[in-house]
Amino acid sequence: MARIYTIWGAAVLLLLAVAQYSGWSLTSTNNGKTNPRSVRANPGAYRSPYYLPGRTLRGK
Amino acid sequence: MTTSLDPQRPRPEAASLSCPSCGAAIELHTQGWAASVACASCNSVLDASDPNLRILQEHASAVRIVPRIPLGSRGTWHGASWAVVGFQQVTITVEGTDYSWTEYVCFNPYRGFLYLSEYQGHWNVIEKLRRRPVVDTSGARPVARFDERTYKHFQTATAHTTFALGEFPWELRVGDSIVARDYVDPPYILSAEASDGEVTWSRGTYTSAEQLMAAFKVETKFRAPSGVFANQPNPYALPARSVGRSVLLFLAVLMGMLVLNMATAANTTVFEQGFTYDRADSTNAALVTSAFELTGRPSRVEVDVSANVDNDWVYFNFALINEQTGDSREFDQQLSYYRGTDSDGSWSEGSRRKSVHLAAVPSGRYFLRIAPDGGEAFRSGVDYRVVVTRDVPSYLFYLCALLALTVPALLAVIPSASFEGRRWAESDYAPESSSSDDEEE
Repeated sequence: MARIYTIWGAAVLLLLAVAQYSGWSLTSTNNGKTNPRSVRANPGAYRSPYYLPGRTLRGK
Repeated sequence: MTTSLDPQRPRPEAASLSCPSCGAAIELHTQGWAASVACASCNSVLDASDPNLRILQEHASAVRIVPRIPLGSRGTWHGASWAVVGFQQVTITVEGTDYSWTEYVCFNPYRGFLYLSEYQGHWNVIEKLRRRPVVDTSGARPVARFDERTYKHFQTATAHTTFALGEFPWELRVGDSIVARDYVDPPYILSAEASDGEVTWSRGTYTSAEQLMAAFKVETKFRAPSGVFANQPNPYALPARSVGRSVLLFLAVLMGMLVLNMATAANTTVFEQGFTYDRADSTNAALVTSAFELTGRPSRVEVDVSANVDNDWVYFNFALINEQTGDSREFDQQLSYYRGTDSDGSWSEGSRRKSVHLAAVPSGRYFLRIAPDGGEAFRSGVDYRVVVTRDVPSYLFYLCALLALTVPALLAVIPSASFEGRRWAESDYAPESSSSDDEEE
């Protein structure tokens, strides 16, 4: 049991070190490609394929 | 219950006599050493030092108990040959309940007496001590120190001899009582038995039934141990201690990593600007920020947004766009803050500020596209501020690591703690126990 825990603990700390060094995050984002020029030219016209108008929680 | 051996005395031999009470044959194996003998036939206790076996107590016991190790059995223990010559049952009464254990008297003409005790399948090999342990009663729980070990007080009880058979090195009578104080440091137990102003100390060593069965060549299997005995070694203690040491080490390393991370993280603000979301002109609410530079290795980026919403809400759709490559990361946030009063007093809910961490963002030149949306219909506008920070430590990961390290450690310690809980539940220190009979001589 002690050996298993030692391996587990070392793995947790190693994973933490990698996560911190590599900048991992638990936030999910939608990654994609877009045209920066067209967005700059008309920010209001830009609509991401993931954006659905009206999906907000609309307050309390 | 003390005896002394004189090396000048001749080696005793078994002698055959007859009981003056019932006439049954009595064989004395410890001739010269025994002080009393209990007749196996009529249970009368006789004076073994008297040539005529004077009756000390006639028909002393109404019950008969068959020893698990028959009297007369011989065995080898720690390189010496021992004969089982006596057997007694001892009973204590705790809160109206009788608890009985049995004791076997073993004799070796060169080494004296050795005792075996058995309680619900738990066996101890007991030897009398020639030195007196040091008892310290200054703490909440008295302790006894002997041979560089510290024994915690376990129980104090008045014990009565309720059955006897065979020879004993003291003048035994059924019904005799002693005050027994037990101190434990598994696998050992120290017992101080006080009777008529005399205190006798002994030390028992927890021993497996299998060892004793083999030593005394007993063919009938002893009963399996039931419950946890006072000085029974905790089988989970070693793994628990080992895990305990490991978890302390890991937590120290975790703390070191946190300090190192806080000291070395750039945590640099690369963009900060305030904006106004005018709901009257919502078609032009979306905007792009000026470009900012993210430098260094791929690392975390925090986007923090705050707004002066009050009984209002606002939704933001963000896109972090790399100006050179066009790579974009979209995410959203909603801020809502409501407050008021009701019959319970004032209340509030929600938050005016939130942040999001974007994982492993490569270096480059970036800008944000921000599209605010929504809100209460009667509100005209919202002022909001966006702050972008490069290379921020994530304390959430440290919290996760802390849980990942401590929860399994706690799970590993539970069996050991449960075992100790069951041990001490039988003591004077059980949580529900009201006994306070722990005075020391």
